[in-house]
Amino acid sequence: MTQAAPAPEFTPETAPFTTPEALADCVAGLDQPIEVQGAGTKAGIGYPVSAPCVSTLGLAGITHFEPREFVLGALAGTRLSVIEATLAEHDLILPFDPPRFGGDPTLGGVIATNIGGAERESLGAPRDNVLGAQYINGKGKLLKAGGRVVKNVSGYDIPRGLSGSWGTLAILTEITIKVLPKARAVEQASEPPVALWSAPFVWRVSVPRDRAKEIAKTWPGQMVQQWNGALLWLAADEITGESTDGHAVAAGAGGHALLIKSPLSHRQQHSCFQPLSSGNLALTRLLKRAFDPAGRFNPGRMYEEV
Amino acid sequence: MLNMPSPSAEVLARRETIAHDLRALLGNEALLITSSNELKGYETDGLACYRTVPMLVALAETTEHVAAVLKYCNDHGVPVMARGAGTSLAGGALPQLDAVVLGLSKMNEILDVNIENKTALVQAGVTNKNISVAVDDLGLFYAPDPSSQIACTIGGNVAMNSGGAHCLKYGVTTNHILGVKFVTMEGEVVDIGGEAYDLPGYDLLGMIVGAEGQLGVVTEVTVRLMDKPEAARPLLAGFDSALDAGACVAAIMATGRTPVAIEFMDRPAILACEKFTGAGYPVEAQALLIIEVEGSEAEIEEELAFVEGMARDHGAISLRVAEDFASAENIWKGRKSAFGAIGQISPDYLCMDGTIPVTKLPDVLEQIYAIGARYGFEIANIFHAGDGNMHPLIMYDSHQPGVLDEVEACGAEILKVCVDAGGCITGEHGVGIEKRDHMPLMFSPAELNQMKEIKRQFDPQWLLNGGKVFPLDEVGVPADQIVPNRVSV
Repeated sequence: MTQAAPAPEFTPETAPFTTPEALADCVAGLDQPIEVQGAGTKAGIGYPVSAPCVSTLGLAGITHFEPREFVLGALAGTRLSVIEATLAEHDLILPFDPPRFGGDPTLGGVIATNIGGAERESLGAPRDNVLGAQYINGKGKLLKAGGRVVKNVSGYDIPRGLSGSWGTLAILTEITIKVLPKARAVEQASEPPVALWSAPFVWRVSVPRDRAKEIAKTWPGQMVQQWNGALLWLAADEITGESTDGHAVAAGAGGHALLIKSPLSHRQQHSCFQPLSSGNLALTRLLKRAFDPAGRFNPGRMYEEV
Repeated sequence: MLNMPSPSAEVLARRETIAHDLRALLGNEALLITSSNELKGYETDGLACYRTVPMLVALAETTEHVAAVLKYCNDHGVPVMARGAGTSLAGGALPQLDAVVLGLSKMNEILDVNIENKTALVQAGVTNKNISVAVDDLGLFYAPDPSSQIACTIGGNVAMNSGGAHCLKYGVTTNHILGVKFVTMEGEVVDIGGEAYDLPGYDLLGMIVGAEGQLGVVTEVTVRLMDKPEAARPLLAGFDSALDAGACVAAIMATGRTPVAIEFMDRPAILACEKFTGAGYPVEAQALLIIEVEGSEAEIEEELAFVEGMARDHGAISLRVAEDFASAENIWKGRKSAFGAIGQISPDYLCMDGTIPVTKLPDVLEQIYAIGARYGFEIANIFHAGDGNMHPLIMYDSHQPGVLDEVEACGAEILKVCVDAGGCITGEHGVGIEKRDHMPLMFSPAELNQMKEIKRQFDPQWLLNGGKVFPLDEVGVPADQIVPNRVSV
């Protein structure tokens, strides 16, 4: 084995990696953890990671586009605005309409966080529209999974497994997605509601829709419903106990919550992600070990040891 | 000719002890099958050219049974494999000779239906069709519809991420599963997901669905239910060339007006289905399309007019729209019994499952016919054309010595054509044993190794459903252990 490279000092601004291969080489040489970041629109979610930051912004560009097949592939650091401009030329749209959080997120960031838009119910979450991915695992291997066709069960479904892993399993470098003709979209509103954004704490809560009513009755702060009640946005001025804690309320209703806005001092102490049952946490750690055994990527951002 | 890992003599020598212990764990003599006659019922699945009789069969009635059997097998180094209805066309339910088959067909209860959330909680052994039947009165249905839906179980669908004709519009199994009760090899029972959309943390469901039962055993499933369309009507279009029909499919899909299903049959398939079911298929045609549209009566009229126009533009020689429910059922009956119909005209067939980009259909069809001609096999094509999921059926007679090797070589060439066209080796049937050795067509050793690393984490002893998905030399089975233990009929 060659000697490990010295710890990199990168900032998103310098975006030094313009090819997946160069980034893979860097990961292979790492002897310490890194933070992985795209556009940083969701940087305020999760435990702050104290490690040198590697940006995917240099991995930009659409790599293949088949409008007649409704398939598009792009490097992970490609901004959504770029993808949407290309799609618009052909009267196409993204099936998932992810929240932008006031910025211009990257495709990689959208898939890695799997936060779906207003049409989740009919058109699926980002994960439902991923056909294939190229990624770098914790050992610095540049690998691909899935493909370019809608129906594909050739081997384990790694593209979906990496969706929603917040850069803790692998670095996505290129993603192939399904796109849609514009005529099919009916609603485009997926941002956190402005009305409650001034509160210090905001949760995005996914629940069985028959439980929304009881939460509406007991939640002391502001609440906005989407997806016919299957998605709730809860706001609070402070967390004083279970009744003002979005995670506890979600768990009580058989759902889960993501704390998408909170003061840094809170995030340093508490996970933004829904606490997992011991069984789910054990399986989560198995996946982490399978992809990133040395814990190189975004250590602790989601959960301890993940 | 495919091999399975040779059985462990050491495990087989412990058969009596294992049987004794499992009987105690199941608490009921009748739940453990040991007689060779009865065991033979578990020797094969929908890929009937491969047969191996398992060491024992344990029939689980509860999640606790499943947990106890898995933990026992894990603690005692015994290979084990879950089985639903055994309809896999890829040998996904082929047992190893030294394995305990864990039968889940007794776990066939629908536990709960939630109308407001449009979800159903069902046991793994419930058949796909029975979910839809149970919620039919409520105006709901379970969308993924494999052709074997009358027999196949939701547990098997989850394992293989099954598709079906109507997945063109609705998506495949993984898009419809909200939660599972998952039993690990250590016998831990983990509830993953539930009735809410998406998961907290990692997408464990995404990883488990389609992992071919190699990571753990699913005993309960929460599925999404969809609103039944007001009405649906299929149209039958005959063409005098398969290439015209393929071009018609590509043209319809390129408009973005996705019908709920587009099914393709070529001449050998049309003749076989017509003979078998008398569905009224156009026997003079070289290819036919079944195109189904749904919605309100007005929407249906509009979509049918559009589809008819497209079919005419591509040289359709016959067009028939289902006038009522009975004629619609009849049109689908022909298609859904197609594999059985081919079985009537050919002693044996091997069903391929490659998927290609739809625009490549005409070109790939031509190549498939050329490959068949070169090998001297007749090939019937019956497939989900709208999403490019092809099912070429290679017809053969297994009584001819050595023919299976030829058939498999022919199939391998077809899969290579699919991959070269930008597609994949399996769209909905899964890898099983059948496509195991073709995985390197799509994945590098390092890519296969990443998948195997997931398997190793969940099942370090590699006891659960071994001999599947990965080429045998890829799972570290020593070369001298790879001996044929199949019996071909």
